[in-house]
Amino acid sequence: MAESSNAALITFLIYTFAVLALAVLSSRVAKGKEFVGEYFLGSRGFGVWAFALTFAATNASGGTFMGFPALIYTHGWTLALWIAGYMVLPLLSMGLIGKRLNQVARKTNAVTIPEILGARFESTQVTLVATLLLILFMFFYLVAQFKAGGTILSTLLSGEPAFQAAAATVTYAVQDIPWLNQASGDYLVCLSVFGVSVIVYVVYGGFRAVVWTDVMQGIVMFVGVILMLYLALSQVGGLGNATRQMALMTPPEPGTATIRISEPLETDLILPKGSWIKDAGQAYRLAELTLIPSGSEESAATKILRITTPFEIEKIESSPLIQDLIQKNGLEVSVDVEKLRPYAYGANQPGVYVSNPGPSAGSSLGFLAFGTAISFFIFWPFGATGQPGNMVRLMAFKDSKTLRYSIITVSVYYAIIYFSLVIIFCCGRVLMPGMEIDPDRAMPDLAARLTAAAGTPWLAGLLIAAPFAAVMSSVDSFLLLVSSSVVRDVYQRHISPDAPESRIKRLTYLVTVTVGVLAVLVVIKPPTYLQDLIVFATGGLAACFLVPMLLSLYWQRMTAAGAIAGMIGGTGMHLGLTWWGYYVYNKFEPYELLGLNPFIWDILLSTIAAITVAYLSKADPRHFQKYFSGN
Amino acid sequence: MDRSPPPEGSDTSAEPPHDTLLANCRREMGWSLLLWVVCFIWVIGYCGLFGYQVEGQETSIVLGMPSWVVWGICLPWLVAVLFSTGFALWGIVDDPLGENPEQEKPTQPMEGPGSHHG
Repeated sequence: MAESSNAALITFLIYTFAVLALAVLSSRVAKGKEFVGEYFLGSRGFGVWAFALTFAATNASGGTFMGFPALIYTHGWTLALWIAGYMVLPLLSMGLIGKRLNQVARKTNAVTIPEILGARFESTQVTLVATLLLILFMFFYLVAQFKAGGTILSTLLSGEPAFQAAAATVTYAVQDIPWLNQASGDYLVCLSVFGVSVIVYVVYGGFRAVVWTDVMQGIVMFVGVILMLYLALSQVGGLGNATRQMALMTPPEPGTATIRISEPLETDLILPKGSWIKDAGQAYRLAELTLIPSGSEESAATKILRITTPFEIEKIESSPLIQDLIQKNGLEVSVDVEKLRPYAYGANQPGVYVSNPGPSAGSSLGFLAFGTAISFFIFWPFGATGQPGNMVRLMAFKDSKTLRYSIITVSVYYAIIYFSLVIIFCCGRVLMPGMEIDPDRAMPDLAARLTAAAGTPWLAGLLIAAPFAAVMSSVDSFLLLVSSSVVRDVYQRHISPDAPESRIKRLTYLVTVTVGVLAVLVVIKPPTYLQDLIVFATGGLAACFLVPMLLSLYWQRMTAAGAIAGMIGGTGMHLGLTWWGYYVYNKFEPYELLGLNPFIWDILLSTIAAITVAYLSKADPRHFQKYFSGN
Repeated sequence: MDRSPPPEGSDTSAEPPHDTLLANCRREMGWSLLLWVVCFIWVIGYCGLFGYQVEGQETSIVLGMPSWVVWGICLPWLVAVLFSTGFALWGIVDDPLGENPEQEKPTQPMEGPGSHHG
């Protein structure tokens, strides 16, 4: 583990250096070019590889390499159906609006999404509403990704002595500083390093640097996944073997227990989180750090996970610390189970990991109920089409040929990446039992295990750079989206239309740094429902922009009032269902009306509102002439 | 399909007749949506019928995967990639996109773009 952690540190340093070098190079290329178009859109000149990989990398966020593996591990093959919508995502998200959006953006000289919507109708109100909604949702997303970046880096470097020393120093240094002292030292160090490196290269290099680093990150992700696939398949004895074993598995049972030793010790006995204890033919894993105080024979009630699959129980051995207690001290270690909570769906049901809906700890309908599967097949491709981060890239490709070849590249890229991840972490389920105690560690732990078993621990650095690359490529894009909206759509449009380029430049740098620092400060103490905020922001952005953009580009009868109604309708439904969900479930989770994803209802209301209001308002014939007539 | 790429070496700076690009985009949108509908029916239909199992039913394995994954997800995914590739190569027209505003501008520092529209 120390070797892999050391490899992670070296990889991270090389990686950060490469990212900053790309920013410097990008800044040199940009010299002499018109600032706004170059900084926010790379002068609309990106070719196939740059465009395809920035598109692919931006869509693959931290969730792809942390959350998605955790879900595969926890629920099994059903995740293949969950992610199946990605098979049509490249063609839909690029093909539906790509050429037309690029054409209208060139015609209007727009560099942001609010700007192109406003320009289409010559309406400052449309720009303003779009800007406000974009900044609102995007900031939630940015905050969540910064937190993911800090957490991933902290996970990667956790075993590195130099890092531990730095973390301890920071913990001591900030102990009296309000707000900062609420975070642990290791997280603060990682968040700062991550935040500073991203902000610096985005500020220095702009969109071109973001795209170039996305290309590098896209390659890192691809190579990492392919290597991991090979190692996982070879170590599990082939995919068929993994699936056959999964078909016999039954979900574990989380619960609480008291850990007992036969005689008290003179010192405290600390059993780390993740320790295995075999007792009376059962296998238990500690889900939290457990303490048996000196002079005592038992711990307080502690969280455990009981494995229920017989062949897994046979393979598991007690952790070395427990074995030492038994063999060297002659103690007996036992687990006195107080309470177990069988899964709501799939308990004691072999086959549940190789079929739908997959096991679920909390829902009696299983992980992927049929209605949810339908929803996700709609949400992935259409939700991606409605993301401003994707739209803005569609404004930056060089020509139609670039778009055509990028569709091919991203189609193949996603098919390989996502399907490989499903296979890798199904193998991971067989290789590493009991990861349900901390499923988000599935990726780094499997990388460390696979490379150690293959005798190549240095490879772990490359493998675990993939999730870091994924988060970085998302953060940079969204940081630039927010700053471009503030500078271009608010300041340049509403405050100082004739501002000189030098002032725009300084303001852009200032806003990018301010937004980045603000996001870092917010995530020092992240909101409670962070993951839910990501879902909220992603769904909200698509609900807000998909229908108004589609209708603005393709429907000549569309009006400014219709566009505003579409944005507000989609957003309103999104907020309404979120509020309803909070009211019903008492947590930050949108209500699934008729069992369908809220996105479907958001889009439905957005469409009805946009079309109804467009028909009730008058379309400007000049817009038809300009955008639809062919003259 | 009516696909007429511009001559080799020609740039995209010529202003296209918008209705041509728009018509091409609408046609391409139709084909893209058709692919989505076909994949939706195939994936959801097949997996709904054969991928949701009753308790205790044995899962047959094909190519190392549950058979519903192979026939209900892998195969349509392969078809989708092949269709996307074929459609991108031969179905999407190389329409000129219009002039690049950034290339028209002088390369020396200049005043801000100002309020050019709306």
